[in-house]
Amino acid sequence: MFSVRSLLLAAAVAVGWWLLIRFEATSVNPYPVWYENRVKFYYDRMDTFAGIRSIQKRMFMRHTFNYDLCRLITERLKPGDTLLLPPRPYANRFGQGQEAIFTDARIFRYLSESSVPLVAWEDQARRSRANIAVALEPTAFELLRRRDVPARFDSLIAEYVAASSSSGVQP
Amino acid sequence: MNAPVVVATMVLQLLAGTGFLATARIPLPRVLVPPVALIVGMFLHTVAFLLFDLVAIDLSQGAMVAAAALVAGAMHVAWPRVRAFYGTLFAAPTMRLRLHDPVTLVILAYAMYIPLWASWFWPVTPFDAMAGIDLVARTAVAEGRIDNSVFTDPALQGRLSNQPFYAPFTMLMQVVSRLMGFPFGQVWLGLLAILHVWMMWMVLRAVVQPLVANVLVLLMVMTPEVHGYMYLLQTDFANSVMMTLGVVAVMMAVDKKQVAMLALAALAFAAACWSRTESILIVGIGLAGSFPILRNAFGTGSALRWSSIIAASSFVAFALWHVLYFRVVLPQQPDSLSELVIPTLSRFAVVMGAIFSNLLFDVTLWGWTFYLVAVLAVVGAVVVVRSKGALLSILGNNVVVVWAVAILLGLIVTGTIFSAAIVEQTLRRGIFKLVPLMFLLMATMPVVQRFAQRLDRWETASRA
Repeated sequence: MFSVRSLLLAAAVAVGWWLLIRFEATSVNPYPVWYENRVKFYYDRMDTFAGIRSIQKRMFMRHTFNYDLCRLITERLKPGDTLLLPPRPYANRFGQGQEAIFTDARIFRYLSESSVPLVAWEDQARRSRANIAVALEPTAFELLRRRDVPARFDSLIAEYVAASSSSGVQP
Repeated sequence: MNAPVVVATMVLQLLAGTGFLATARIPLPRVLVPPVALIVGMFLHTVAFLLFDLVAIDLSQGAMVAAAALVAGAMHVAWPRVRAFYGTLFAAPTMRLRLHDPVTLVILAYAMYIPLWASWFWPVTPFDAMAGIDLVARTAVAEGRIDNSVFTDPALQGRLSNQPFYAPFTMLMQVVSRLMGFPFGQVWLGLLAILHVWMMWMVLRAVVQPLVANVLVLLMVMTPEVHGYMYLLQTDFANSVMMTLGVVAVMMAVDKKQVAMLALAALAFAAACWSRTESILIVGIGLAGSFPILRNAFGTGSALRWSSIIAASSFVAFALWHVLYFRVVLPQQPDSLSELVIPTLSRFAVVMGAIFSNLLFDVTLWGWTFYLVAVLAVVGAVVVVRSKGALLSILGNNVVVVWAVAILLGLIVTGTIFSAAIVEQTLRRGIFKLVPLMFLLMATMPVVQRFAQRLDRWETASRA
């Protein structure tokens, strides 16, 4: 139904909304931040994002190194291997500020999309069953150390223990 | 994505919901039928799907469509009644649009496309979902069972925590969505958000003048924290949708003296208990609080009968998963007892204080929602309802107020008795249930109603 007053109200809705998402005063008006982060951010990148068809790429965009590590580790495991997941404080040293959530057995299983035999670091009762552990180093690309090279394996476990102890987690 | 399966499943869910509305003779305004029917259909579908699992039918794509077809068929058994309902759906439209409606629709579409797009594009992100809901769902799709290797993997023994045991609606919708061929599931979440906004918009328009309804629904959609969880997979947003539907149904039943609407409330509250565990507590408190209102509206006998039906349906939905499925099917149960703490008055006060001081009035989470309610309540008390007694009487007889208080109290009690219910996380997301109710409450406030009437007179006067 057209009338000048209806037109004025329609304009008021549009202008009011525009002002709400434009008038920046974070402590009073949270809507510009909401608009920038939750709406405009996606509209600005939608074409680029929509071109990314690969499921793996999207997983990496969201879960970064947690996702890549899980896949790389799983690819390197051999039949019969039982993987010891590192303690979170140890892995966090290499996460560049991001939380190393892959150290949680549930998350490792989720991100690796596999059900390889695992032992979480906190699972002290089953820790000795693991024959392979995750070695993260900023300069080398070793990734896994096997128990059949005891000296190197034990030194890694010592690093795990030290990292756990220093962060107050039960070693 | 398997397009024919997607279309077939959604149509069957819609038919299941419509069949329920028709069979229960729920006098819902026609414009509310599509969103409510699809929401109800999703719930009924997941219940049937879990029953398939209970009778050891493998959860395949065929079984998923069959479960939807079975529910849709069952809801059409009373065909003469259902046929009459369909007849009313396809009558000529009566809704009259105003000039500001298309403007609102464009803004809403612009803001709501993001949840749909993001839920399609992004993988599941929240830790809780990866460690629980979607871990179980994805493994269920691979192995054909809900009680799958997640619950038997030695690596996860004793380390599942409570995430895989969350109330099953979200997990089952993930199974359904993944079986449709969506790689991350969760597209249903964006769709549910759109249905929710559609429903709330139409409910608000039924309660208050259209322009005010338009402004309120826009502010609701712009609530920063809630908008984010329209595409971040968690149980809370879905639970908020179900709880809101239940409260809306009770409100409509009381306002229009339509007792049949309480059948929808019973189903919606059951769906709330099916989507988040603490809901059973909130439904209990809410029913106790709204009993006097129901008694005034329908008489003691009817109020007692319907309160019992709502309580029973909610308990059945709760018990089907948390008692029957846990005890009979799952090889291990959550260790919820270890998370129980002795409730004390001081802990209750601490949780309540944290909710009010750290959560409710944080504009970065909830926008202006709670400030607006507070300001309008004060203005209403001063300007419109000068007598304190009259104000309390209005608030006490307001279904929305009673259920909002029930939700708040339920959350505080949950935080008091469960150590895992952390205020800044679990209870923060529990507030989602309050947000739509706050906008509904604003729409029903005397000060807003009075302003809306004046606005309406001003807008329509120029046409005369």
